[in-house]
Amino acid sequence: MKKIIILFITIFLLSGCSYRELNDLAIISAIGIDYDNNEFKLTAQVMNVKSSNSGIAEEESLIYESTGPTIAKAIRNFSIRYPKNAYLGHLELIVINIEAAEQKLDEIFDYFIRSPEARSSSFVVIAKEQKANEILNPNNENKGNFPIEGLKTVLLDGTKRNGTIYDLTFEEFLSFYLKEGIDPLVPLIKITKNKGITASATIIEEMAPVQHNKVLKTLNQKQSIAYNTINNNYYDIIVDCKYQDKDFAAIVYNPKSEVNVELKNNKITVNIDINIESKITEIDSKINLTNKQIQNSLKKEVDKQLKNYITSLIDYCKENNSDIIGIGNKIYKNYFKEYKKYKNKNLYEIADFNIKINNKMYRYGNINKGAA
Amino acid sequence: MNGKISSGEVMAICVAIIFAMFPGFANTLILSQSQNASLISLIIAFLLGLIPIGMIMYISTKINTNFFEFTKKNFKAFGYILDILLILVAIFTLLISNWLAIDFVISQFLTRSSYYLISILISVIIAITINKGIETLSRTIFILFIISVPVILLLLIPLIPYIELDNLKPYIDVPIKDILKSSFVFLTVAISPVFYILGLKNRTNDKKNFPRKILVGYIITSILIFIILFFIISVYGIDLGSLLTYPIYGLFKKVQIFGFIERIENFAAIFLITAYFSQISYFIYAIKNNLSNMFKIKSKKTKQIITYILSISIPIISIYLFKTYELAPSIEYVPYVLIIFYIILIIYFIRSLFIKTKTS
Amino acid sequence: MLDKIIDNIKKDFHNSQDIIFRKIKLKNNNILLVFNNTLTRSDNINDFILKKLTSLKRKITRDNIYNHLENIVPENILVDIKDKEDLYTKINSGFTVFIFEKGKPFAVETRENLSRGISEPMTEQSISGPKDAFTENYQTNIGLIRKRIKTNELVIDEKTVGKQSKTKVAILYMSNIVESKLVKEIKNKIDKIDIDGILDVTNIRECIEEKHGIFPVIEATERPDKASLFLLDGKVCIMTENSPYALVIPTFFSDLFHANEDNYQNHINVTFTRIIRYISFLIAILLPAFYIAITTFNHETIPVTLLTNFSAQRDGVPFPAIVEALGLTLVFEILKESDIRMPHLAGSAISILGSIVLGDAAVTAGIVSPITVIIVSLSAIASLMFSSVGMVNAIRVWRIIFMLFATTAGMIGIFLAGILLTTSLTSKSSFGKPYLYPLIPLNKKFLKNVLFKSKIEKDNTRMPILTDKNYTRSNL
Repeated sequence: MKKIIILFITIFLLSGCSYRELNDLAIISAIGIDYDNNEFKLTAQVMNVKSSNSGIAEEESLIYESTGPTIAKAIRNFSIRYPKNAYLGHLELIVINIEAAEQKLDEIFDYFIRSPEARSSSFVVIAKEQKANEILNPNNENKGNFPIEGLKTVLLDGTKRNGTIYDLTFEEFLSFYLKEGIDPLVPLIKITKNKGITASATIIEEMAPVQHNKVLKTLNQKQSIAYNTINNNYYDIIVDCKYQDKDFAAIVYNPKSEVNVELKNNKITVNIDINIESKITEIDSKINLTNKQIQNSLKKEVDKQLKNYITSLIDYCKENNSDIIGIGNKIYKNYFKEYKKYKNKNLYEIADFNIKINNKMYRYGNINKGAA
Repeated sequence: MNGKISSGEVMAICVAIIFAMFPGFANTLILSQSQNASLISLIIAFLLGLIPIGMIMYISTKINTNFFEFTKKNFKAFGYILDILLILVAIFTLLISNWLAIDFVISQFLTRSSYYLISILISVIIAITINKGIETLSRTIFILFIISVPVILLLLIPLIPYIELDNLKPYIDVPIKDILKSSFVFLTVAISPVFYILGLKNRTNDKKNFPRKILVGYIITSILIFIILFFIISVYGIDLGSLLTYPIYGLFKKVQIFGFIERIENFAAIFLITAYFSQISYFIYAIKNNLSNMFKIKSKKTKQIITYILSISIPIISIYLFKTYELAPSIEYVPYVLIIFYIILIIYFIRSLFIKTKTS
Repeated sequence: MLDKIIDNIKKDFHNSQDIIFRKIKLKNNNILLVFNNTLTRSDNINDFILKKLTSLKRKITRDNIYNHLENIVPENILVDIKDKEDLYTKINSGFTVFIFEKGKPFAVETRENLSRGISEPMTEQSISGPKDAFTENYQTNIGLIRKRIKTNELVIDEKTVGKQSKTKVAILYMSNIVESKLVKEIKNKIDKIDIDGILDVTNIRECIEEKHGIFPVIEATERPDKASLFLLDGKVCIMTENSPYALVIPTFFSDLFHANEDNYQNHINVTFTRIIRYISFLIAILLPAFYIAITTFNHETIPVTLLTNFSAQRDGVPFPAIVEALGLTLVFEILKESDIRMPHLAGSAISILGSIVLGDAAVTAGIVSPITVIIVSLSAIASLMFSSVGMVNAIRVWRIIFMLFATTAGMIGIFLAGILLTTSLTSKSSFGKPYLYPLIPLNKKFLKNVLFKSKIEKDNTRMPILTDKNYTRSNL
């Protein structure tokens, strides 16, 4: 009995000492980071929970803005102007301005990884053409209807169904950034404007590699598709090709690719093996698809197109001195002792590439001739 | 309730003692010293650790009475010095593991609470559990382990799609000296406190299986630690994995089940809390036993008061030391202090080689 | 001389008016009948005894009457009276005492049946299986058990407990199954009881229990089929007069999770119901504490849409979550208690009032949030799933302990309270047998039967902790 009394006394002394009520939280769902004049400028989109008469919350966001010399101070400064405490536990999107990315990326990483509250699975995008403030607060109305859910589907679909971007979470970003010999690719976000004044649409459709203190040139669509194919990042995408000057489209499924690097006598050979399956979806000519030769030539066109994409990616890497495929990383892992020699060189100039595509085209859709 | 402990419970206590100091301290130390080669250093430590475990098993076959009586009979006056040394090292271990436990709880869960009050809450519960007797304590530890180990293993299964075996290469990227240094950390921090489990020998049911259960507990824990390190390195990559303070905890933040159950690391923390609770409570029980045997205290009430004093004062002292003297970065010197356990172990081992037991 | 006896008896009974003295003159012999009007059945005395007395043809002496009555009325008990104490005991137990001028008095049993008939059980209802329950009549109760176990190994030992109430206490056990050490211990404990009166068998429970804990260590049951099943397992039953309950010693923690239908239905269905019962135990204890922990400390555990939902509901509520939850628990307990005491005539108005007050008006007035009402009522309904009153009360206490820990430390507090619950359960023992058997000490076969019901072919031995004589139950 005495033990229970001791226990209850300690409990009553402690309760009510250190919690935060649910209503005192400002749940931040997206945060934008700008950096100029040696100051961070943060824009946060906060979920608004006011109980309406029917008892169900209306989904409207508020915009908070604040500045500060460091990110931690800027987040505390939110509570100077706005009610409620900022709460990062359900953060879903981080928008980083290109200047902040080029100058202060390490500090941003440090804050978000060190805080035990922030989720590490929030998505990261970089805003190249506009400031993060403009993207999150498009018409400067302080009341955004910025559809976070919609952007999440854009990111996911863009990776899995289009192959043009890659949904990068914060943790993956940091992991790639720290690895030796590989550069992370970050999707870019921008807003299109009607007549240059009011915002009409938010678009994420390109990627760019990020190195230490530098954001490089954006990849075009072909190079992004090549990157995603090499890394098996999508379910299926559509590849446009031409057969005898007529367009046709093929779906490419299930990439299972491998990149192998061999180092012999100071000679680097890179073997890129790609195994895919494909299917014709749309064709603009009156050919008979049951003919074996025609099938083979269609398949060869798809292979040629993919090979073009990959060669274009390799050229990009050569020009911009950025190791996207990760050759340096593979040398680090497999030939650890000799890595020092190749550490800061542009490996794409001295390596030989063998690209092999193994394509199985097995279905031609519901009809077996051109419908035209 | 006749005061007997079954062998499964001995195994559970053994697992708890080995695992308790691992997350948060030995984990980060091993990963930062020998980066990708942590797995290899773990295997080397496991093989080398069979020697002290074998010594402990051998000593345990010679003990037939209370541990204190055994010391007194075989060492006479020198035994008192050994006892006091043992108590001091045990208190030192408790200071470190109390700090680790409270730091884990407060930095990850209750960021705004005060250190002292939460430690008092935990210590009161530990003291209540110990005062009910050793069989209650060991049964509670057994039940908690039955619940938490399958939870951890089940929660690791959704992480399997995230494994990239590539992250394990290059297998050896640090010189051999560093690998041996981290094996040394594992040997001292994890294995040497197992010496204290000899205090349980005369309270168990089947005395023949006692050495075997220690060995089984050691193997189980080593496999568990190996699996966890494997997951950390292959899912996170070594750069991120050696950066985080609690990578085990961070691993579970990634788990997503059915797309909506996202943050289950709160439930995975039950395993860590069980290990901390079990190790702290068993050590306080063993110290209390040692003290009451040394000063010949028989009354139950005095023993209860000693338990309360020990379990409340040790966390408060450790928090005070760590806060005012900022000892947290210098925690790297702990393995060197725990060598004292090994010295005591070797002394006992050599002495018990000369004991002739009656063949029963 | 008989008048002097009458005066003595009247003085000893302090002139209570329900003691009746009848002087009968039979062929010039005086016989005095003393009986208690309220405890005896008058037609028994009139028809069987007095009328038959007149048919005695021989000389009127004490022994002749004794033998005559013995032959004529074989149903009722006929006993000799030893001393004055015995005389008063017999009058108080409903016997009719024959006092002679010459010869020792004797007594004939003419007891009135002062109890209700056998009806359905009130607290432990079931869908299938027999539906009779114990009543307050001692003979009926023991008869209901005897007619289910028709063997001579079923032993009934009687003791008298209580200085003023002198209640008969019966100890039932199967002598070829049960451990004799257990029976001896129980008998020793009952002998040591020194109390004014035993009004119900639960008074004995309080006197026998070693350490008073929160979870019940000795169970009381109202159904004879359940008691018979426990007797066949090797447990001991205790019953007293005037009590429709039977105590079962020892009780394990797993027995509190069993309902009556488990024995009468298909084992797969029973397994399913048992799993639901375990889940409802966890819900009943953990759910309010979990809600408090989520809304105050660990906001990241639930998906964000649920979080905004809770936040919107708690917007205008003035109290913190713990005060709301405790207040609603209190209101629910008040409702439950007043529901038991309320007479049937006042019935539906109060239940409507309760539901409207709690459900709609409090939420609309902004005093509580709807989600707290849902959670507290869900947890309370889950706790009512258990048929044992001790279990429901224990869940109530632990629910509050968990809630207090959750306000202090969030999820960690729930873990710590869970450790405390485990400690408290493992340290209990029921008459020397560990409370959490068969989990601790581990016995895999019975663990499977206790957690999930196994087929009748596999359920063919008794628990080794309860018996050391007779292991096989069936040879299917």
